[in-house]
Amino acid sequence: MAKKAKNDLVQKDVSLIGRDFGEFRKNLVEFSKNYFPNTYNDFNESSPGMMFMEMASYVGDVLSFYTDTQLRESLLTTAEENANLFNIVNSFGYKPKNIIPASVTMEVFQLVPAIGSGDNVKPDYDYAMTLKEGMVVGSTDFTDVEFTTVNQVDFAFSSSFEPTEVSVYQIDENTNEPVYYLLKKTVRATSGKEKTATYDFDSPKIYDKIKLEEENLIRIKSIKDS
Amino acid sequence: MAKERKVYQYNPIDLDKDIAVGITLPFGKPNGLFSQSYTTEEQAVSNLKNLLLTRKGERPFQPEFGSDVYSLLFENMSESLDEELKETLSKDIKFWLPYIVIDNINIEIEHDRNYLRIELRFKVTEQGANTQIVLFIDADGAVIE
Repeated sequence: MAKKAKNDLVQKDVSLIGRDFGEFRKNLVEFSKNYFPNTYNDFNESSPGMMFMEMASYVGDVLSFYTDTQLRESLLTTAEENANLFNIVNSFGYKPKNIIPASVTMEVFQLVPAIGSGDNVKPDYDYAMTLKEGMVVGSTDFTDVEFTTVNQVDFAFSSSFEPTEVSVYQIDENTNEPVYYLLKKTVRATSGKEKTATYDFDSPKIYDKIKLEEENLIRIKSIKDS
Repeated sequence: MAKERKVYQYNPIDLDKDIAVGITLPFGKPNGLFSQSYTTEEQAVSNLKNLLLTRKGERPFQPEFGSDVYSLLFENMSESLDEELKETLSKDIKFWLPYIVIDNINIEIEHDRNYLRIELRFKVTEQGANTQIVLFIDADGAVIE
């Protein structure tokens, strides 16, 4: 309800809840109906007056969006933009580094002998290896570059998600039957070397600090107390 | 099929001659204030002008509001243009101004001058008086009289 203020001006009720275009528009229409019933009565979209109300609602919607975005970006739990996240975590004393290693889908091959004869000849999967994740692969051209696999490679296992491609590698000239099969699998690998550093802590000290000597650190895999 | 929309004002609302209906086009009076309308017919003319001179997509948050008259400006002046204009005008007016009843749309096309003259006769509800507006369209845009 409208109230009389001290200076005799009518203090109008203004809704501050609606913050999108539709709500602003609805509130402005209600406001006009309540306070200007003798001045404006045509609330059709094509009315020039409604054009002004909708423009005001549009501006309100955009400003509300900016207000929401600014609040969201000011909180660590809701911020989405990288620059804002970095600024927030910097204020907490955390200094993130943007070191992102190169990654590759690598093809891994293994030769296995054939087993059986005639129609039953097939790869002997008893020889199939399982290579655990963390396998380090070097380059012949760039010897200082190493890639480390992130998943294990199981040649004996094949699925649509992780297929093992089988092809004949060598054929016996006399029997014309396969002697060796070539198994092929793919695995993701990332560049980088795993390194270990040891630090001694002698006398107890609150919030003791150490500085890692390595530069271009990607991540710390584990910290263990001996 | 066109979506049903809520119609905010439908019946004549000029029951009291001292109560304004809305503001009219064109804007601007010598004293700097908006011109007000006191009859539904008078306001309907302004509303119709506003609808016809707005392109679809021009109005924020109301992308369907407006008419396709402007887009038809760039169509070839074929024999079917007359019918297309009548159809699009009737469709847009029926949707956005359902209280306006169109009596007649007369379109004159001057091929040599790339010029269109659209004469629209209408009334506000079945009981209203006949009103007419004329829309001139040429290469420079559209003007309503």
